Amino acid sequence: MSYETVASWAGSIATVIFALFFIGVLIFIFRPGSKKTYEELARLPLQDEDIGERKNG
Amino acid sequence: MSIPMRMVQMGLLGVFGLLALYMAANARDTAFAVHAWIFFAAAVLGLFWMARQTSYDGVRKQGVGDDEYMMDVVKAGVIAAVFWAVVGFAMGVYVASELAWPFLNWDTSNTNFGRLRPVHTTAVIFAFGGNALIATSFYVVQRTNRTRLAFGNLAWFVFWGYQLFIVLAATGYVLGATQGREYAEPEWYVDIWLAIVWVAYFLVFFGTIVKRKVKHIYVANWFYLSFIITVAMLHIGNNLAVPVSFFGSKSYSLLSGAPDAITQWWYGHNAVGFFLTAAFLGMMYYFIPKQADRPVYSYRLSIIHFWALTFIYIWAGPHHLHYTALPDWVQTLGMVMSVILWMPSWGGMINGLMTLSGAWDKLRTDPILRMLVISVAFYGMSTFEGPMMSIKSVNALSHYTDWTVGHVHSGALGWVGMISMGAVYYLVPRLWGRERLYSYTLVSWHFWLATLGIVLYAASMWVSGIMQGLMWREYDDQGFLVYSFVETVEAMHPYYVIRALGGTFFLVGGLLMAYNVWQTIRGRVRAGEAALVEARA
Repeated sequence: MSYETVASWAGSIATVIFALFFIGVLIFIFRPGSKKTYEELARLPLQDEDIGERKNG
Repeated sequence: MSIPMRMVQMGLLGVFGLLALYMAANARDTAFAVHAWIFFAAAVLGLFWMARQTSYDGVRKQGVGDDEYMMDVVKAGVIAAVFWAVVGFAMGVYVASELAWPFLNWDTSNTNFGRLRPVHTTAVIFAFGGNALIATSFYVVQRTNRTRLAFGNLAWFVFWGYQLFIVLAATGYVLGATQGREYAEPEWYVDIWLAIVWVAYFLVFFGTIVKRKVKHIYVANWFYLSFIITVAMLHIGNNLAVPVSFFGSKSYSLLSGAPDAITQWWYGHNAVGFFLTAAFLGMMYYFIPKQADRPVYSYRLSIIHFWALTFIYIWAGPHHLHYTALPDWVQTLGMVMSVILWMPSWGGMINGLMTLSGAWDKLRTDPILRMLVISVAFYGMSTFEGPMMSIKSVNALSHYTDWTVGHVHSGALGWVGMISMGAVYYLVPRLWGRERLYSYTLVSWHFWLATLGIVLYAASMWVSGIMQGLMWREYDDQGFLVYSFVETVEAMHPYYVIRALGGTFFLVGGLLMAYNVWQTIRGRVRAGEAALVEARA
């Protein structure tokens, strides 16, 4: 196989892999029941005042 | 810290110092000799510091518990960021003035624009921005993972090693030691030093995440981590070079021609993408929710934002090389990816701005929040302008003109600068255990001076850049160019003066910040303001 053939196939395959990965991310984050999880996670930085709170603020 | 461990460390530092002395003795050029002496001085100072520390070991209570955050290094990072901000802004005003009034170059090789400009860019991007990132990333990673920084004093090595890198870089430029690579000017041995520091940075940051006390890694940490990993990859890839001598500063790039150019801009644009964008988005995802006291608008969107941004940014670099020897398809790829990049960028901007939903009224009373929010607005503006400029036909007009300079500064001053300064104002009272900042009125002054400065800067560069581009491409009916190069330079003069004025506004704002931070650390409150706050409440 020539360099050109490999390069063109590699480009197409990478595009498909990237698209599938992105769709996978979408499916994962919209999985049933995840809304509540993410709402809790979004509050993570707001809740750190009362855990492990020491001097040096 | 056990005594044998400390002795091993001191031994290593001693060997390093001797090596520096050997380098100084054999140096082939001035820059290398000066740098060898700086290395030597750093080693001696480090040894003294360690020796003093060790002598107190038996007296001071050792082994700080894992339940206490390590905030001293964050404090140091904040002070360094403020210091380098003022230095970097002042250098910017100076080099802008050199362009407006060329006598300021003073006809010496050390003080001309070509050598001082990288001092400015390094001081603002790597010294101010970098220290702000080190400080905030160490702060955020501890607090969102509820654990102390990993690997003890390695965080201090990161901090001081990074300051050493900055000093080496800046002195090198003035002495003429440069690789001539945009935003990667330092020569080979400085690059090696930064690589060592950066690996230590990664270890501290990643080690802290590994020993976290919460199940989930908060999204801000993802952005910071992607910045640390990608910058390591970019830094090593872009700086592959062969030194002429082990005792001289000069080196030659391993690559040549178009591959060298695209490696340079693969680095250059991803330095924008991961250093100046992803990392500061990490800041956005922590400090805006904290200051607004609202959770992030959509955590789902932040995940999409992260993956889309990191996957797409890495391809955008070729838009810096439109109409060059770079293969056409690579140019087109860079353009298309840059335009696609608009979507994750604006997704992130919407996520940052909408975090204020239900808290918009706070903008009226809280100048820190105002600063954080306008930074996101500037982020949105420059991430619209960037993809537009990457389109080949637009680029044909904009490339090599001041428009590019204006674009970079609306991103750097508006986005990176404003969010960092907002984070500094957020952090200082908390780190030093003060009830409040010295003065919120001064923050407001800073906000307006900086905003006005950016407007002056960006607007003058738009006019000057587009004018410059149009003058360059103006033909008469005989097919001759209408303007000589020097005529375009002459036409740009008023805009250079306006730009220097805008930069001065920004610098004065930075000085107000330094004063405000200093007074807050001293525990002062500006006369009259306490009453004002009480009256409001």
